[in-house]
Amino acid sequence: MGLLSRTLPALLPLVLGLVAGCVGDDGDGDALVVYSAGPRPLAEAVIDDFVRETGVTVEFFGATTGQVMARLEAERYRPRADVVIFASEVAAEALKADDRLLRYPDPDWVDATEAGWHDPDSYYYATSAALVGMAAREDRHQDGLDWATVFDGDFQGRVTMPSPSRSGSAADFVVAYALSEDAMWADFLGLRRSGLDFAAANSQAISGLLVGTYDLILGAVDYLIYRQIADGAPVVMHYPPSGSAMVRRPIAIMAGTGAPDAARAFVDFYFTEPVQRRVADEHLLPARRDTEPSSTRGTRELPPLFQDDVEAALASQNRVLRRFQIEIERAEVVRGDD
Amino acid sequence: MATFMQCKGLTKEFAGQRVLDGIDLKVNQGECVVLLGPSGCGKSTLLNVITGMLAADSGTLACRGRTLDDPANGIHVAMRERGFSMVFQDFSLWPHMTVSENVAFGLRMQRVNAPRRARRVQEVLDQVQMGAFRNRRPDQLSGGQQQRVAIARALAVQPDLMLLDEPLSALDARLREDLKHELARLLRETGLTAVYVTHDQAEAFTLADQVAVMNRGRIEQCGTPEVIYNEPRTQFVAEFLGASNLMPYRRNGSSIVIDDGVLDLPGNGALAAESGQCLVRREAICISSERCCSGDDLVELPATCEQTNFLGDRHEAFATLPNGRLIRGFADGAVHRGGAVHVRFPASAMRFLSD
Amino acid sequence: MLMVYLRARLPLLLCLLLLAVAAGYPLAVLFAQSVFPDILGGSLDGFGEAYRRILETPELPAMIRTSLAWAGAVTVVSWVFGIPCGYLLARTDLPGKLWARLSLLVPIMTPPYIAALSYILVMQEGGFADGLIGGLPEWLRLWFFSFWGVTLVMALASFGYVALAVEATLGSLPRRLEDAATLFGAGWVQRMRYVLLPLLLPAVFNSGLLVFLEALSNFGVPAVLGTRSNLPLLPAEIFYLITSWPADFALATSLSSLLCLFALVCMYGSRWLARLLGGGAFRPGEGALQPLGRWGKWAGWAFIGGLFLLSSVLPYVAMVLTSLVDSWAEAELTFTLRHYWALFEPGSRGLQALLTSLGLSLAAATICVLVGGYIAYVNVRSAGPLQRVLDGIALLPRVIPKIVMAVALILAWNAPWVPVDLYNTVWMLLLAYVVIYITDALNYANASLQRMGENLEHAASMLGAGRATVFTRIVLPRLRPALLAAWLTTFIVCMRELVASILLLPPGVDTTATFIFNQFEQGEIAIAMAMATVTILLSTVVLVVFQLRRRG
Repeated sequence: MGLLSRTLPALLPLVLGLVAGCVGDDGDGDALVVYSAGPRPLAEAVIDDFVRETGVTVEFFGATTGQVMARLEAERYRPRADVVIFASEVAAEALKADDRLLRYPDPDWVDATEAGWHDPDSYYYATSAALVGMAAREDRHQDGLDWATVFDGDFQGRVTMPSPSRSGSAADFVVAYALSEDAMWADFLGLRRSGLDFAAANSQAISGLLVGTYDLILGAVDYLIYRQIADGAPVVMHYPPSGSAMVRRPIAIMAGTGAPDAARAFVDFYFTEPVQRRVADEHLLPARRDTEPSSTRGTRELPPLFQDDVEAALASQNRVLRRFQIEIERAEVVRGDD
Repeated sequence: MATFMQCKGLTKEFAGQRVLDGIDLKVNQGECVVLLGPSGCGKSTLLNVITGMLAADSGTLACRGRTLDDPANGIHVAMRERGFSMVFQDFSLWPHMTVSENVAFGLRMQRVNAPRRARRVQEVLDQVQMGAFRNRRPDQLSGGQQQRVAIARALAVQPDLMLLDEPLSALDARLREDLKHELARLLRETGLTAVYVTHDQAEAFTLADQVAVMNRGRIEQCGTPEVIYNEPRTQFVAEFLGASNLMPYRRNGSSIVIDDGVLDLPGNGALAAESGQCLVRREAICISSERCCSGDDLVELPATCEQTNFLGDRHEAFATLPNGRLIRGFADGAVHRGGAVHVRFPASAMRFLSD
Repeated sequence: MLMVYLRARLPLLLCLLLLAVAAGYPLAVLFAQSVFPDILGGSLDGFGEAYRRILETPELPAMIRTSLAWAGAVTVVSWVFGIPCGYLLARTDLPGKLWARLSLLVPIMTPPYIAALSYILVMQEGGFADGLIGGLPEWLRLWFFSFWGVTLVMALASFGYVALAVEATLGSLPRRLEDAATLFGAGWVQRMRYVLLPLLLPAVFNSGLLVFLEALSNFGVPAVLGTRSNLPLLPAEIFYLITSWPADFALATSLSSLLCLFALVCMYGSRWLARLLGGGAFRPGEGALQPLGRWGKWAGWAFIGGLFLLSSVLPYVAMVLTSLVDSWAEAELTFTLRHYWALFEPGSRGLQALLTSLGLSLAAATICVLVGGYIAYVNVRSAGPLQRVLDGIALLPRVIPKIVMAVALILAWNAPWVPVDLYNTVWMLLLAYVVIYITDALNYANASLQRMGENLEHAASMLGAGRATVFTRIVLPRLRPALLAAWLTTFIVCMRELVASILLLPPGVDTTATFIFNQFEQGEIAIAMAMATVTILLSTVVLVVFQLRRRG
């Protein structure tokens, strides 16, 4: 009990001060703060390269698009991030609409990239893209498979889908699909009733496919499937003839940044050839036209895509996702049928 | 007077220990019998046997000619069928019921209809002066008020026999005094037969028609308060009631020798047993610094004053006789510690108790 | 004059300041933001908009009704399970009561989310039930993954509170109250109806409200089982509003405020009920036990044993088996420890999570006990309006659901005026643990202090001891057993705390609970269950060691 407890009343503020002090040390005022969604190893590698090349210290926070957005939302009144990278364009569009992004007009590399992917107002730039379609087990794959086939019940009880409320790419897919297909709600409800399962994340859906619980993933993001294929898994990435959704991965500078120059330097760095090569190696479609996609992925040629209108997507996203969560994800599965 | 209840040879053992050791007791109709004794004497156990909470091991208990307990013949009438009521030491009022609900409970069990029940409740509450409190809960009442309610609860059912288990001992001295007299009045007015357990002599004397002094599971003596006090039959009764002086005596022919010759009383030998204790109550003894004109009946012994205590209305004094025996009595005039005094008492105040 | 006042009141003011900053301030921010969604940005626009949105979104009022109904159902089922157990333990001659009591403690000690995860393993398609009885009937599976199944799991986790409360109350009711009734002619039925049940009601209601509150604010079961059963429940909804895209803090804060309101209503409701139903404290009475007879004993044990089977054996077996089985594919199960090795591999996330939890729990328990003990001391030995304020604030964390506290902390420590970066560091979680669990320590110390009496301290003061010396030399040593118990409890609950951890931990850092939750969600079920086993073993070992040391 002795000395420690004798000084306890005096110790209390001290403990708090200590905690505050330790925490205060954590924040490095000069560091560039980067929040990134997407493959963590990729982000870490790019940042390492950047640090080595420029000497700027970077504080990095890697998570899913939802987590990054949630954190930005939490920190709304006390912003810390300088640069953000999302797996969904809608997220960037949301920040842009809220005046929380800093414009970066006319970077010199812009002509070497897919100009149509970027924000016309220069608030964000797509570093890469992925397509959202279907993934099937090799033995169950059919050529010419289309969304309608699945909705007609060809894979009854053997279909899964990453939950749009957890997976940014699945969310983008649902929104894009809703914007282009009027029958979507009836279709998905029917599928859900006949046993569509929702996985908490892409990885869970994929492992379900690998162990054979499912034959098909709806709304599978292709680069993750190509990664499995490159590892020799017996799965196929399939783009339905009526269209797939393109999910672009934008980078943007936050309006409140204290280090705009370093931030722009980081953005520039992301579009250099070596970094784009790293991006391509993750089986993503790189933004630079002169960077070849990975061999597993093949060409830069695109399958049929849903029309995309990011402003419309942003406007309807909340409503669509909420409705999807309530009407589809929580609908009862009618198991009696099988 | 008619015998209302009778115990014969009741015994009760707990874990091999005899708590009741052959109790014989008679309670007459309309009488209040007080079981008086130190704690652990068995008085509460006897009460619990009478209520039926405990079953006796042997002996019989009968009330108005009906046998309630007779273990030898397998008779044990359940507590709820005996028609007694009881006032508990800890009140044991049901905390979730109001005062009038508590009082009405027994009537409700007897299926008395609501208007009559209400009337009766009001009546007994008025009797104990608690009429104004009928909608309170027990925890909103003082200890004294709670006990009044408990008494009302017991009275309400107009029981054959009312049992009271040290009902005043949880109250402070002042309240105890008030409630004691009130209880006496209530028992008198209602003409109830009651068995009352206490360890307090004053309570016993105020309330009792008969006092049964208990010790170690036996009744030592039973009688009116006056008899018990003035004619104690045993040393225990003598010591338990009032402040007394006891001196050993033996009979020597026709005379009695007290305390190896402190005093010789010729001619009294016929009254006493061979040997025993001679009892003189404190109030019979006068300790004075002056000799008194001696009378025939008066015994006077020289002594040394040891101590005096002021009691308010008089002084109590302790004095040692030449043989070292300590005598307690009341001081007459000024006596001082260490001073030579005289211990004086009428010979008729001496009682001889056999060993 | 002011200085004299301040000096005399210094400890009280210090405690008030501490609690106000730690708990009062975040909650104030939360409520403010729920009413003025943009208040942290310095604007009062959109007054009440979030609440309006709750009303206007059709599924939200329905979800809130479901949550209340579910918590109510959990309470009723807990009563059905718990009251007979309590009666059996307190008033009958059931043999082996020690074991029966232990069997009630096991589910109380088991974190509900682990029980829920284990139940999923048992009931899901291809789960244990399918393996054991060769195919669970489909209606049973459907029933389980529905309102009543989720209710059952939560009730199994909480009926022990009811049972213990009923047992304690029955044990402390003097037998005399029943004897008095018998004496006045009441039979068994009348005694039950007029005396025993009314006297038991406060305990039944109080424990019921505790269960209701716990169910309403529990995050683990709704998040784990509710989502799989299409049963949207408040805490899980708040969680998703905050962590998933699109995040909606305004809605989350207004829902949190509502949850808070329900909790406060529960607490004040229980106090009001307690007053209404009367029922004071009794001195424990001696009690004669109701003989059960042969069949009664069998039935009693069948009841308690059946509940133990459902609440403890089944989930634990599922948990341990899952963590040990190598492969389910082969006809014969093969066992392996590799999931455990994976957990303890140096540098693995599992080991990191375990170490993070250990460090946080040790620190949180120690701070809680020291600070809580001091606050309790100041509270008990003060009087006046300030003390009542302190009393009120100190109560808050006990009543406020943990998820609400976590949301409030997020907001409060991201306010523009906060000088330190606490959010997204592990320190934030430490703060949260301390804020959430300090009331436990406070209560232990409080109870022990109230029994202690002030004279011992006055004696020391008269001999010249200062305020600090009195506290450390007289009070602390006397408080030691209570504080040890508080430390132990806090340590164990921190080791398994889920909701604050999952909301407040910086990404990439796990505690044992978030590790279990995340691994399970990602399909790494065996690893998740290995971690669950390790955590429960660890807290059990700590518990047993402390018990042994206290005896020895």
